[in-house]
Amino acid sequence: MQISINISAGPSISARRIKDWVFSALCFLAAVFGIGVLALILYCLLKLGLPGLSLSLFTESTPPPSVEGGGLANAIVGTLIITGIAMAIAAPVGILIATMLVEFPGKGKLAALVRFFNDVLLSAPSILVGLFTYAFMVRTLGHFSGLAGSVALAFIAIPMVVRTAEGVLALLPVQVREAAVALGIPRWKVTVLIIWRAAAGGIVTAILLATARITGETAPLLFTALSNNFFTGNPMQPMANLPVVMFNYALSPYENWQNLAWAGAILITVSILGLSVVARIFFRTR
Amino acid sequence: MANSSHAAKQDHKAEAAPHKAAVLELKKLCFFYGTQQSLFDVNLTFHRGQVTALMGPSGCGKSTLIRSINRIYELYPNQRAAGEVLFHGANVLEPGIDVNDLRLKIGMVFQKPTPFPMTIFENVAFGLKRHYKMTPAEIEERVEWALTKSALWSEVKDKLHKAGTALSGGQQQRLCIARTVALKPEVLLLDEPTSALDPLSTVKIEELVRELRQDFTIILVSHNVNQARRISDETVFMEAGRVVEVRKTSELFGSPKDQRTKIFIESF
Amino acid sequence: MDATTFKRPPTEDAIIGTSLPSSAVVESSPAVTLKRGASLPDKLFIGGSRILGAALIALLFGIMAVLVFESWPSLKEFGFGFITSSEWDPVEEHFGAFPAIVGTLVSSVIALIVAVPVSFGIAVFVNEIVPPRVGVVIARLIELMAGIPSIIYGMWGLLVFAPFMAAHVQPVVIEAFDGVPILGTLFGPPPIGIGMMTAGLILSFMVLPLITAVMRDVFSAVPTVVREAAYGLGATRWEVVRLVLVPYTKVGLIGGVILGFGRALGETMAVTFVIGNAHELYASLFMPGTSISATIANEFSEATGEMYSSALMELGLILFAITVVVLVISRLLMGGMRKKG
Repeated sequence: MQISINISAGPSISARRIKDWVFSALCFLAAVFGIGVLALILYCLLKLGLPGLSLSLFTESTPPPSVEGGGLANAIVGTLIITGIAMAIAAPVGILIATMLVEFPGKGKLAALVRFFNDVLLSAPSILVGLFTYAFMVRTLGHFSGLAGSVALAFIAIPMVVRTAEGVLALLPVQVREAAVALGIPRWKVTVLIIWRAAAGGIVTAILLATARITGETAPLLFTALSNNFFTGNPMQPMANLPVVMFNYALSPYENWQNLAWAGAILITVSILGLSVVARIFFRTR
Repeated sequence: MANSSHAAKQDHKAEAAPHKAAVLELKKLCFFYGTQQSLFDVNLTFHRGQVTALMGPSGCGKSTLIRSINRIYELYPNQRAAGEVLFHGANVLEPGIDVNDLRLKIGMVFQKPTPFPMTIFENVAFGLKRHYKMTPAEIEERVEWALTKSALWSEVKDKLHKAGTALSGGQQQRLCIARTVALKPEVLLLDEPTSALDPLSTVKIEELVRELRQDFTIILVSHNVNQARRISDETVFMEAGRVVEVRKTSELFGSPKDQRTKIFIESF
Repeated sequence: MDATTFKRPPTEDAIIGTSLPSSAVVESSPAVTLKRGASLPDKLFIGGSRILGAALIALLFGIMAVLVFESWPSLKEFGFGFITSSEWDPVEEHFGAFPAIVGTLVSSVIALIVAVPVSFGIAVFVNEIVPPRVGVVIARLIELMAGIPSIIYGMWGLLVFAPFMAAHVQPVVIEAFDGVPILGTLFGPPPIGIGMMTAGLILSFMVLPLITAVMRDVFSAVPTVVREAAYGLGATRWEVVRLVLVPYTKVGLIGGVILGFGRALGETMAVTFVIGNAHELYASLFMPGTSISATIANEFSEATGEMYSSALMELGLILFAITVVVLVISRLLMGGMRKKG
């Protein structure tokens, strides 16, 4: 239809129109391609993972190869503990650094430098954080541990919290801060009681998004938390966790392990989606 | 430590007749945003029981001037004041001064209403709880007093535990005044308190300012010449970071001495 | 100057204390004297937060220091030859990083070749072509891709995508380019699914949402008036994009691409699954290879002996150096862009 219009409008316009049409069509195809890849991955995830979902997934620990049954209970609990400790470290540290960037940048270049290096850390390869944590924690303590995994994940989550929380804090109107300071209230109380309170929704969002980001992070856990075929709640021991179990199982030739890996993949994806959705809700209703 | 005596002093003062005691004195006050100077050797005296209006074209430094009195500019690392701001003879710009104590005694209300994310009651009690050791009953009493002073009590007494942000713009601004007044400061700095409000709320705030001058020394930055004329006892006209003319309000508006003042007044 | 100075009669100005009525004298008693000293909790809080900020910077340098320290034996033993040698023999303890470095770069470049045009297309489609309401939905879906952890891309790549490549794509491509110089070699047999090409493609799916997001940001920074002015002159969409949007946002776009490159270089899990883990260099992109991160992920926990783990740490150091340089460049470009916008 478009071509017929172009012909009637003359050759030069028609060439321009065709170019425009081809360009728009290519952009459309790019979008289809992107969404197609996403759909394909999600489809395979559901197709291969859903059959493995059962109650025993949450009640039984990881099985030996080629033995029917078994679950991921130890890995699920391990992931919860490792992620929980990681965020318990990363959230306060990240929020404090973000607060410093917005509230107390000072006269020097510190804030600018922190912001810059935070951006670099944000995209730095997570496996290097794993190596770093291995060298200074696993080596020092003499053994792998869930705690080392938590520390490695915290290093990855902190720049994420800083970035998001900084954006949230910077959105607050300066007048609120000035009004509180003008009442003669010390800066730290202004920060804790007014600024953080006013930004609470956004700060929760920052924490949830960072949690989503480290859920499923595998590389930093490989040489820190390692894994464990048995159930443990002790963060000083090597700890089973979903990503590393998935890594080991997906690469194994055993079908029951591969199936568990896919089931784990669904668990992880659902948790991440859930966290992102909740994060969005928090940000909207703050 | 000085809290109870401070409170007592305020009550005492409320009964005292207005007199022309100098509360604040600016001597050669200069102000810098980075390297740019925005106040040049300002000398001014503010008197007890008076409303002093600062007016002038935007950017003349009137807001900057009151922002240097309570050192709120220190929130921004590249801003700097020089010279002297004498509060009962003590220079508040000196490095050792406890700025929180300074801001307790010299309160400030801003252009835009800024209720804190908490209830109306908590908004007013917020500063009280941080500065004074008061019993809950005393706090309640003081909150009611402040809200009454700010002509807001009758409107909010039934919803003290609703969010402060739920109030209308004019009410929010009176809440902010109440919050400041509750601390019983000696000086009230009002930075264009009505510029974000509708005419009706503006009238209420103006009435309130006239009321409050019995208890507080008030410095009002106004973007509106007529407002300055209506509610101030003394008016300062500024231009380009310098004081042009300071006189009794009636005199200044009746027969401005400086040509610049005249042009500015007549342009309204 | 004199005109601006307001002078009061000296009685009121200079001798406040004595000229005040008695009530005022009472008031200027201790209550009005200002307290001195700053709040200690404030100092601790502000100082503490700044120390944490400084610690964040220290973390980056700490990672570098630890990597240097840990790779010292390997640095000393192999010197510059580590980068140029292709030998990787844990038994004889001879280590060379050349195949891993090349593999890292090649897989990342493949990822960019695929992801950049697609991301550009999606960004234009979402921001410039469809109505905002539709655009938001598409953008959210693409963001969702960024949320899927890399291990899932890896599993999918190994168990779904690679078999598909081996069965349906690679045989066709190999046959199509058979006998063609250069291309025939690059896309030569065997069709085994996993390998450099598959790793690059999986990587492209992973960096695609990131690059798209940056490009969208950059496009939205272009003032609407500029765009409307161009459309007002009768320009077509393609012309607006080519003559207005792209020149206007060039620096930011490049920054985004480099950011994607930085991310691809360090990406571990997805690559580890599908690259094949061969310390060899092959001319065909369908052959297995390895990357720095894949080598570390695969071998570090089994690395016995000081030299082996030290060599892996040195690989980490090289990856650190490459990615930090790339990321710094990208941040500088995008930072400049931010200031301009």
